Amino acid sequence: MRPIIKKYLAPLVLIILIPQLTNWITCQMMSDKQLREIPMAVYLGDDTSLTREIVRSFDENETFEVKYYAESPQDIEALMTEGKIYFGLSIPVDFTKDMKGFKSPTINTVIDGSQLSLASFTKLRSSEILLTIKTGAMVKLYQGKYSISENEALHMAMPIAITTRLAGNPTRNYINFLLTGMMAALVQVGLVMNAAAVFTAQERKLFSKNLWRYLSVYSGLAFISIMSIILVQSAFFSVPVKGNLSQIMILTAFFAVTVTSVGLMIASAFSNKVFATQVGAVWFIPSSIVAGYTWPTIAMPTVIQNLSKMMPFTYYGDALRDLLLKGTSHVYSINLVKLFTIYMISLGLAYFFNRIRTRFLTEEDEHDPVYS
Amino acid sequence: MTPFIVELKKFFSVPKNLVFMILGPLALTLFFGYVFSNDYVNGIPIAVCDMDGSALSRSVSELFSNDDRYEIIYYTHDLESIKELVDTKQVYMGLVIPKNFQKDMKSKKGTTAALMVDGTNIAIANNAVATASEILNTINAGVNIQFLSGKGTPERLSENYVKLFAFNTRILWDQKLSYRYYIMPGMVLVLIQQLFLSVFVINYIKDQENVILKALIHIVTGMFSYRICLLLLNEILNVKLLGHVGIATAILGVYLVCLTGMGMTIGALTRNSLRATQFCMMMSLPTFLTAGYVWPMFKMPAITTWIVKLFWPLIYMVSPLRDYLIKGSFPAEFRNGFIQLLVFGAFWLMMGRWISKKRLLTKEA
Repeated sequence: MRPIIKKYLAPLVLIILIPQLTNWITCQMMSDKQLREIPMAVYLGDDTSLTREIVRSFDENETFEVKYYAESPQDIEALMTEGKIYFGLSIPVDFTKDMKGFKSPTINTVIDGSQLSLASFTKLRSSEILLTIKTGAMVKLYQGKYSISENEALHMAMPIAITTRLAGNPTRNYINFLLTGMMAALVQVGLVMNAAAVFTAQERKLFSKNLWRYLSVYSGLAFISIMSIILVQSAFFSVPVKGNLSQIMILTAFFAVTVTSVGLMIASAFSNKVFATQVGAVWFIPSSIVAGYTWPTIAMPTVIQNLSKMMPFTYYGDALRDLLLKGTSHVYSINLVKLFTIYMISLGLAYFFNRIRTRFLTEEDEHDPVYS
Repeated sequence: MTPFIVELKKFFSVPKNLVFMILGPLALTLFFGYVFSNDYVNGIPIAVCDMDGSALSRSVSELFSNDDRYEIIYYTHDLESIKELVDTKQVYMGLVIPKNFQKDMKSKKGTTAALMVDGTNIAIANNAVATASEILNTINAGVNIQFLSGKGTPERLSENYVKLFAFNTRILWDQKLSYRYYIMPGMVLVLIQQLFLSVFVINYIKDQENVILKALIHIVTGMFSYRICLLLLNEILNVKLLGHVGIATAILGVYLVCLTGMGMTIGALTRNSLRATQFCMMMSLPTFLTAGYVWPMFKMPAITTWIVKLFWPLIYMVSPLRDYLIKGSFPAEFRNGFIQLLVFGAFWLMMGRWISKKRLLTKEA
């Protein structure tokens, strides 16, 4: 293999190839985009036209798919324990009779709480469906009891109507929510591990001379990789790119350069390449979590919120998602400044560590295989 | 010295092995447990646009203000500024109370409360919308009773009308729907997987003697760490595990056995500690994302699922083991998955041995 290809084979695999493959596979996996047709079971303790109508409301809603009719409410839990359903609807015996007699019967819904994403969504959707059914029943009741118009009965039953507008991701699309940032997080792990293992003993002495090569090559690869990911997601999986492309590119370039500089700082601080790689990985792999990309930082303890401020991804992931989905990010400029600050501090420390290490580098170190 | 003692000495004489395989998982379990220590997303910054300024509209915003879920950080009077606050993410939700809110409600014309929500983070959006709906529906029920009383309906009957039927939601296994419960059992398995691979592959590259004994020592150490991590989850991090920790640990042992062949393959292909470490570390996120944990398996296309199943075994194990730990029972499809895992393990063990013979022996030669 040609030396140049051999030299850059690992960066190509780690920064470009693995993230691109992962991007394709995960986007394919989530190609349904929304959580729909969630398998559910129904216990019909009271089989009347009203209760069948309730079940039909669930079945016709795109969120649910009635897969099983249970013999008892306990069967619903058994099906859930087996992982066959994630939602259960239990309509009690004499439901219709009790409702007509104003005994306020209770419909029980059962949710599998072990699957958070499914559980929170089914809870929200099932409440909406049942509330709509209940309001409809109340409207009919009020019309009959008070001889009023349907409209007036509706305003009595539901004095405040609730409208919800979800900005940025109205369909709760999981690819839009999750994957662009996650793939960028993956690229940064590949990038930092390569940058952290970039020096040989001789090259350490030439750090200043080679700095721009390191920054341009590694950051360039990461930049190409992230932009390709966005391109693929946009072209094949309909991820919107509402923001200005040049803003996205500038933010990505800043992010890539900053992560490279942190990697170079790690490389400068540790003499063992394997150990430096492990330090880079342990620092950067959790950053998609600590940066609040999925679980928000506002729900994390203060110490972790402060820790997240040291991670470049904190200033990239959310801002990128905002630029893509909403077209704007109010923290864009400030995040560029913060990324630049991390970049400067990392490079400063890299120079510092290199000076110290170069001064104390021994003959034995120079022949250590981990350097070469 | 017997080969077993030799391998034990090799393993325990390198402090890094112990740091990575025992201290690493424990420290990271505690760290992530702390990250997710809050059960709820509380204090979501919101803005209220009260265009009515009536007693009723103020009481509505007060209800939002009193709820721990929200923190009202802006009050405005025009729609544009609330749109901007949401669009620029200065708040995650805006509550818009329109003009004549009180008047329209009292005159039974009906009114609307609008929720403008930043939907880019689904976790925050779902939480924000769910609680807002609960608050507004509670207000609706109260107003409804007042209307009925105004029509001369006795109070008890009014309540019966409003409670025409109730619905009660029962959430099994994790009533709080906390992120910690959801993510930690899977994350611990991924941590053990990554650290087992990182250490085993490097040690395998160094020497290929007594592979079975070497693998056994790494697997047992991984099982030990896993068991301790599960105890930490149960005892310190308040993730109540219904499954038997011993059985889960034994299942993990089988998983690590099935991962051994993949480890040998990586070692033989990279032939270099640095590259092997980089590759193993790099695989943590892709394997987790593709394992049917974040996105449920029943929503995945069959072809993609099989491609993943051919190349990485986490998909056979991570969700079933999470289910077992949280629910105390394996899912129905676990048996098939377990058999597939064994086939996977056997195939990659042979593959690892074959590639090792080709690549590592060539290198030694």
